[in-house]
Amino acid sequence: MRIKQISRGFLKGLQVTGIHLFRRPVTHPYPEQRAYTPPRFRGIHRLIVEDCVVCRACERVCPVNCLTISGVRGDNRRFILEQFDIDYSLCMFCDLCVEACPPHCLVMGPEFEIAAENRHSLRRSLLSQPKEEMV
Amino acid sequence: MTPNREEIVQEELMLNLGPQHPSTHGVFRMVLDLQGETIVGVTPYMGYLHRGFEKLAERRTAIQYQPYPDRWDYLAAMFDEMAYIGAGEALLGIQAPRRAQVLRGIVMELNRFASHLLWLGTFLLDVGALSPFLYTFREREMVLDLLMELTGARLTYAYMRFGGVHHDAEDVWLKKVRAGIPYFRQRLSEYRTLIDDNEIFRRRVEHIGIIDGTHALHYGLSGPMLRASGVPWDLRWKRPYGIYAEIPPRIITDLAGDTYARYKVRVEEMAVSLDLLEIFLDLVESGPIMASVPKVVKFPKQETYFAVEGPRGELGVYLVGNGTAYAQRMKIRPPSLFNLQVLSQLLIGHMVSDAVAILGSIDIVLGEVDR
Ligand code: SF4
Ligand code: SF4
Repeated sequence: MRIKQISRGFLKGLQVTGIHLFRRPVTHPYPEQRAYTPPRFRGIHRLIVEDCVVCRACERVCPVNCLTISGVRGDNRRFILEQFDIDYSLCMFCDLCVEACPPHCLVMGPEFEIAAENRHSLRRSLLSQPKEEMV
Repeated sequence: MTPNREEIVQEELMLNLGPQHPSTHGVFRMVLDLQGETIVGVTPYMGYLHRGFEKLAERRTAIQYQPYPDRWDYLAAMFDEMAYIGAGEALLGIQAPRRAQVLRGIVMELNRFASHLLWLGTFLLDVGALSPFLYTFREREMVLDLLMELTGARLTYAYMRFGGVHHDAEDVWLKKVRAGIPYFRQRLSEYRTLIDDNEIFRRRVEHIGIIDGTHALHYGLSGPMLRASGVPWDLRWKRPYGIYAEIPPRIITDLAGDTYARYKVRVEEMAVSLDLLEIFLDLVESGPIMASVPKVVKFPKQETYFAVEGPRGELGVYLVGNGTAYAQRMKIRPPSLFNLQVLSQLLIGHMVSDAVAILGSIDIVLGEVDR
């Protein structure tokens, strides 16, 4: 009796395995194939430098204080950004800074690979982002 | 020279399980006292993942604290957000608009489904079944992808805000969720064919770790743990919040109170989650997703307790305001911690191999236990 029950369970298992044998694999070979990042994905920040008014709203709202911003007053009384650093060893990609930015010049892009060799290289400047990366 | 049976001295053996043991679901450590293969004593140690989230609420403004609840229970972050945001909204006297309420319901049920899927996979892994783990993770990945499309992150969503939600759901997304439901139903029935009547699984989990309803209530259990002991208690309908007040109750209970009953309750709850999703999708109507909220949120000098029914049980937040943007005090009621209290009651008298199955059936998340 028990043998019968166990073998029934076993056969059911084999049946499910059999169905799966002919399904396509669902895993992606990661470095070769890019991971899926939808448009709203919260990855590494991007800054449209020209639009930033150095209001520091993003710096104030950041819960972990990982933004360092400084600017100087330019000729037409407009602030010009001198430094815009994010310490990615602290940042938790929470989106609050993006939400707070009045001219919407701070956004989050699809990159998520922030591995670095040491702690100091996790501190990145958004001023020196390559242009083609920007949207 | 073989000594006869009476002369063998039986000593108690102390066995350390964890904190890095895969079957303790995180960094939970327990020291088992064994008499042969039988457990005679359990000493749990927790706190390895303590990050001080209650204290942090006193050091961050209400707005700044919004992404933190995600980190309490990282497998069901939406519920933590809902508990914190709900408590804050109760203090501030804000009510989220209807569309936001429905969206909250949708993301919470999706999250409950994902959380139960992960539990199902790891629980079966604990009792020695390897393949369901891979299947449930495949489905969970789809749910996480859906949530990522809506919120931008896979686990730490930071989706809910005081007075609403952060992102609006597009029609395409809602259609995707709707299209996913029949698929998930089908998969769920596939798991059930595979697992429910499996003789080996039944023998591993039936009649072990039994707790009756009275004891379960005395221990302060909640969620599927309590419902598997026959107590029909589900905060979604017993103390309704948000959109749940409009939904007819669907409380799943089981009388057996053993590990198998807890499995059954959770699996049926997954089906209920899918049904609720369908109901919520029908309720979606256009409108704003944020109520008008002051720019600087200040908690008034009052206190409140707000609880939601998380996948693990009653997840409550007790919040005291002091007239500033910071909380005077915040206390979390983590369901995993309370459910874990019953561990020694459940384990004593069972075998070591049952310990893993019973611990798996409690469904703890250490991020939430230790906070
Ligand atoms: S994403 Fe969050 S943690 Fe990171 S910089 Fe912005 S506000 Fe700070
Ligand atoms: S909030 Fe926006 S405009 Fe203001 S400093 Fe930050 S990035 Fe610049």
